[in-house]
Amino acid sequence: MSGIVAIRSAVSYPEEIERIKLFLSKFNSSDKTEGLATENNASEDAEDVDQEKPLTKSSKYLSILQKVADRKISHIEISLDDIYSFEKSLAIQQNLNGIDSDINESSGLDNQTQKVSSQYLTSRIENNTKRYIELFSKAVDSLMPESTETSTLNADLDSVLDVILEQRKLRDRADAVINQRVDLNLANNDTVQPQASFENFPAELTRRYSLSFIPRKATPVYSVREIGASQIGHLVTVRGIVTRTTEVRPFLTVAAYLCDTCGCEIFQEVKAKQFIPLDSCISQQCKSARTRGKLHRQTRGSKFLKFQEVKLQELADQVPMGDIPRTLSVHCYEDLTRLLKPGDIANISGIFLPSPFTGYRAYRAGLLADTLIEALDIQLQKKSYSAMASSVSSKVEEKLKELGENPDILGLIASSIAPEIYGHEDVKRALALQLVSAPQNTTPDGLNIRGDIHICVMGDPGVAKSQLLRFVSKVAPRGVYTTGRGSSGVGLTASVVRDSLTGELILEGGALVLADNGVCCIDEFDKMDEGDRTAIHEAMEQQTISVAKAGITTTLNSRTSVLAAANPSRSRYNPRLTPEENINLPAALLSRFDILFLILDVPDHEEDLRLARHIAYVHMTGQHSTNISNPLESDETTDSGSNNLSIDLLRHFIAKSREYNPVLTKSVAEHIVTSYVQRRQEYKQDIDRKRSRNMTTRGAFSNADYASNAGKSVVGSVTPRTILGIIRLAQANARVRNSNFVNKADVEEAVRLMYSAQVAIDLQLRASLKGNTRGMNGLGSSVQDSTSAIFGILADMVKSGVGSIGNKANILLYSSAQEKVLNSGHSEADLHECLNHYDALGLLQVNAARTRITFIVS
Amino acid sequence: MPSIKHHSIENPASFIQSIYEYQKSIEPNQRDAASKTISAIQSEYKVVFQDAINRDQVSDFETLDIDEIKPGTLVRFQCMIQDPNFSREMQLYALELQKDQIPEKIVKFILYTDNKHGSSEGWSIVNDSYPNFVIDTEAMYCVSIPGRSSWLKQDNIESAHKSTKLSNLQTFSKLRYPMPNTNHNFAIAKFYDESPAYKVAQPVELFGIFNWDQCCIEEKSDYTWPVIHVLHSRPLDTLYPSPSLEISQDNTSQREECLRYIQSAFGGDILVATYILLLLISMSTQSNSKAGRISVGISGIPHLHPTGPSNDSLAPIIPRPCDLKSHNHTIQSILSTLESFVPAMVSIPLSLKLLNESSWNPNAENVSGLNSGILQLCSNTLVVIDESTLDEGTLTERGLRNFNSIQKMVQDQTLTYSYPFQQIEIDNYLKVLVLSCGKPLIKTDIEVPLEKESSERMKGEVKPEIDNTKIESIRLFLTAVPSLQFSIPTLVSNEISEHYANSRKLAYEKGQSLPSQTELASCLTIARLLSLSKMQTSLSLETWNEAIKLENERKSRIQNR
Repeated sequence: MSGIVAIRSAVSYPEEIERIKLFLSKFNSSDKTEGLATENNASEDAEDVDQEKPLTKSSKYLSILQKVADRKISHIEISLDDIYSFEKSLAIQQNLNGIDSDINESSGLDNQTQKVSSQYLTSRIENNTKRYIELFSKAVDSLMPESTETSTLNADLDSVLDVILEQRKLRDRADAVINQRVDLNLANNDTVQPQASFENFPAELTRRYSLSFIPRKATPVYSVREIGASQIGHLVTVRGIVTRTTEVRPFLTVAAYLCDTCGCEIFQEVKAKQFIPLDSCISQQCKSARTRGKLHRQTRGSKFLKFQEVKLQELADQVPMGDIPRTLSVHCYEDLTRLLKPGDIANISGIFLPSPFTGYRAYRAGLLADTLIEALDIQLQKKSYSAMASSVSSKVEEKLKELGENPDILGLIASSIAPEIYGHEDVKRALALQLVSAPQNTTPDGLNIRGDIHICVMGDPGVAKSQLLRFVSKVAPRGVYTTGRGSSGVGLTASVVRDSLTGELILEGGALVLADNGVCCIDEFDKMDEGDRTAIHEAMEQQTISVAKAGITTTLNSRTSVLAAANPSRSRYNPRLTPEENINLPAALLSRFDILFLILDVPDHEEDLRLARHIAYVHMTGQHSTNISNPLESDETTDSGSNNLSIDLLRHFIAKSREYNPVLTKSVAEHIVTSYVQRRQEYKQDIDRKRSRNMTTRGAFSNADYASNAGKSVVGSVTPRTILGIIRLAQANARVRNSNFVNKADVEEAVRLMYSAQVAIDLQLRASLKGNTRGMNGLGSSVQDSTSAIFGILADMVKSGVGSIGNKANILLYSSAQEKVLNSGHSEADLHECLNHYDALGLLQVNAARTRITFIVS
Repeated sequence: MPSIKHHSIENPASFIQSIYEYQKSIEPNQRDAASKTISAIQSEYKVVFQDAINRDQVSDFETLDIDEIKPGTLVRFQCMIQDPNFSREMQLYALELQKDQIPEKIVKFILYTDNKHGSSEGWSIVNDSYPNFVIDTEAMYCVSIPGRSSWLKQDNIESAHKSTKLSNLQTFSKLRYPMPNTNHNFAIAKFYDESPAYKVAQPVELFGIFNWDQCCIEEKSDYTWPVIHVLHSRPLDTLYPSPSLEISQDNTSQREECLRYIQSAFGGDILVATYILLLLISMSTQSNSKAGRISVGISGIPHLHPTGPSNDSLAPIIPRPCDLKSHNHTIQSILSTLESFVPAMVSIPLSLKLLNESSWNPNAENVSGLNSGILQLCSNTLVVIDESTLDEGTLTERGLRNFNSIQKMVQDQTLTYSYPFQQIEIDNYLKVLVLSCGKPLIKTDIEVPLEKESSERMKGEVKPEIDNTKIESIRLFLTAVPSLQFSIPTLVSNEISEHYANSRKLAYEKGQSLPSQTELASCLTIARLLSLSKMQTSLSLETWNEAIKLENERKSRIQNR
């Protein structure tokens, strides 16, 4: 079956083995090979050298082999970088010109370049990996030194197999003396002479190590869909997310049998997933005696490998627009098992192999084959940003450098965030800082101080909050977008679910866990379940999530920035209510947000004109003025007037910025302290002022539970958390400037951003005071005011349960509502107006017969 | 069928062999000849199927009895790609054979043939096979286009395949079709050495050789599947692959006719009819933009219980999507009117059972492969959601999620595919029409309440008159119009901007809620579609004002409800 993989080549394998031996014995990581000028192709020469020169102690791989022989390790990793540099030094010494210069590009990408470098062992290994593992193993076998430990059996280190082998060795030695059978074998193979006495044992059985190649650093990382028939047998590296892993199972590689007639031990090497067990003895003795000896399987003598099958799925950013992800099977053996868990993102290097059907299916399927990767090396990817920073192309690097010199880089980045949305400059700036975030600090006593910046955007419907959130979740490498309502099932945090395949309980991470090291965007934050909101408290400050459910108790990491969007409490910001009433989020939660933005929908002629033109343009051309669908071609996106960055470049810039680790200088620290103290002072005055203002306006809302709120003002509250927020924002600002020091301007900007929300509210208040003076002071004099007041009355009725129907607290009897409203001095028309208004907002419903009022949000 | 069938259609196997023979005659090396044959076959068939006459000669997979199809027959299948990543395989396309005493080896081309093992008299396979004979194979899971209108099917009989061979696969195939428990056809399309880049839920037409074959998937891999080895395929951009899409400038008559038919189904309400016409000609453009897409909700449909054939003794009808009997007779007549125009229509009688128990989103989590959901439909399919069948009850968590996905489909035109650890959102434009008695639950871009009088009229028996000769021209009209180019002159664009800014200012002064960005966008979309419906390719001020008038009328209806 492996015939499909076999590559016909002009290479003679015995020669290759010699070459490998040369490498293994001579390679030395620090000190490049010396005195090997002549021995490259001539195998005999090489062997002579081998024997003449004493094996140098410094040889990297020989020392590994020694460890294997001493049973200290059981895995040999051969770095292709080592082989490559070894070969290159050989080539230089042999004055082979014209090849080495372009070797770096010809790292096995397409056929043409492969031909150029195919005289290099490295590329031959990359193109026919499976075979070379076998060749390397043979070479290692022949080079394997004797154990330096005493040869007495050590019960701790030796397996049953060793005991059997040891005994067979002794027996065979005795046999050899008698029969001199060894002579027969000598003719076949000189090189494996030390192993000759094992001729009954398959090499697989006697090997006490597994061997794998570590791909070169420059190898490209593919996505699942990029791997195809042209890469069969090649060493490839694939990146993806692990979606499923099987249990670790034993995988039989050598089956041992015992014949009950002749007493021979028969070993059968198993290379496929399935095999047909032997049933009659095949030994010389039985054959010549023509007795069909019955074979019995010997489990203790067989060799098993640990085996695990893993499903790898493409990552969302590898899937082309409008396509769905593909999956690939990965087979892991021995040390590579149990490395991967579902949900891990990993780079897996391995051999791409077809796996033909076996048995009856093979007959039916003909020449059809499934594909898989046999893993040789697994690199877990933890930080997506840092993976990105390491894979920057030179073109991008140039652009990044150019960007770094831009004086208003924050402004540029801000304008590149959700470019289809106009305005909201400050919000976008804050979002840019959130993406970059501040470095996380760990104090000497192990306490983590978070660097992630949390932002809450609150605003009227239709101000494009959701688009902002969606954009951020797209840009952040581990961005998760969720809505407070929609995430009830798995929840935002974590839940214990029963796996439908295995039936066992597993812990499933919610959005906050999935966004670890990323940004978690939560829309409709105000409509979220109380339970989930409580869990967010922990996630936002401690950056962990504790789970104690169904016998599973654990703490999950959620080092994530939270970007929340919420509507004001009654859907639209009501300037006649206090900010606290409008926001309607618990203070404990609000204080965890570094910045709270309020976006109000106020007409502005110029802005409106621009926006309308933009929409008309979209309809005319069918595309946005910036091309979101095609993030890679940043050059083309700039032609429509704005010089925004493409998403891809933006990501790279953020990745680069995150590498900086800005610190506060003493003078800057003092600056922060003074500005904090000043803020704190203002805050105190503010509270006093607000308290007095509330007292004056109280009359208008006789039914609102106002008094209890007064004094507990949450918007713009200045707490010790605030100072941390300022520091974080300033640090992020310094990162954007690509600087390792925070300067005063950073702090100024941080403070400015932090209070821009406050300013917006004040402005709004002033505007409404100016326009509706009477409304703020008088009692129900304007239409709008009476609507709010009536709604307040109705809401109060719902709360107290007066006039509600049966046990359904959110349904009011129309008649009792009417009575109460009329009693408090409003007209029937006002009530209608109010009901229509809030019905349109979707807060309540009136049935057709006008007998019931149902509150949707209580 | 008239005339003689093309050789390539009559006997594809021998045609393919003849191509290989030809390649061998010009290419001395047999291996190279074999590898060149694959692309040669594909280009040959491309030429053959460019001709509509040749296309029509190929028998339709859906009309054939699957047990009767001889393996190796050329079939065509107009289908939806349900799962483009059904399996990834490798296939040998040629074999090297040798015979005792003959030193020369021969290469045999075996792709598309039944002779899997290349066995022929006295020849044996060279074991050390030339490795480059392996090619990539992409297998896609294809199903009948959901909701295909009956006038597009060649005969009106329910033509789902029934075969004992399929019964094994039934539990599997049931999950892979959007409509639960609905008869349909499916096949695995295997593409050799090409990546056709078909997206999920894309409608395509396949031409290929039918066979029973195996597929490399985790479960059910021991079964044989109905497989079409694709020789040629093409995307069906419009679901109605009519031979001629040419349309004259003077199409006011079709527009009027079409409006009249719709109007009669809605008790003579012209405003509703206009909005539905606009919905019918809306179309997703190639670009990512959502411009030109709308969803329409008609409220105030008279409330009637679904009436079967007036027989109460029968078991109550379980509402099923795409089942006319699940709807009440008013809606039935609306549905049959609409179905006669559009190439694909799916009607969904919304019920708690359907919401709570069916899957609406395609799902690949904790299952092998990709299971379908009700909303996995071809782009530009008309989806009629009937809210009148909805009753009181509790929505479970799953039901809530399903409801949210409908809402998302209607508002964002995206469908979420659940994959382990990631949710993939795929842009898919379905023309959604929501019919409801009261205020619609599903929020649509545009809500039009039905006039009271029309509503009364609809309670009676309505049977819109449909003239068969005219209906064909209406179908053509509806297919051709969306592909027209459209532009907004600068002058009109300025006018629009001015209007918007002023109306916001006005609204603020009056203390009303401000017209938002979305309202402007939807108004522009209406203007755009209105303009297209009149076959005008650039927006005139007149049409813009007409659009505003329509919108104002609609809003005043909502206010006065």
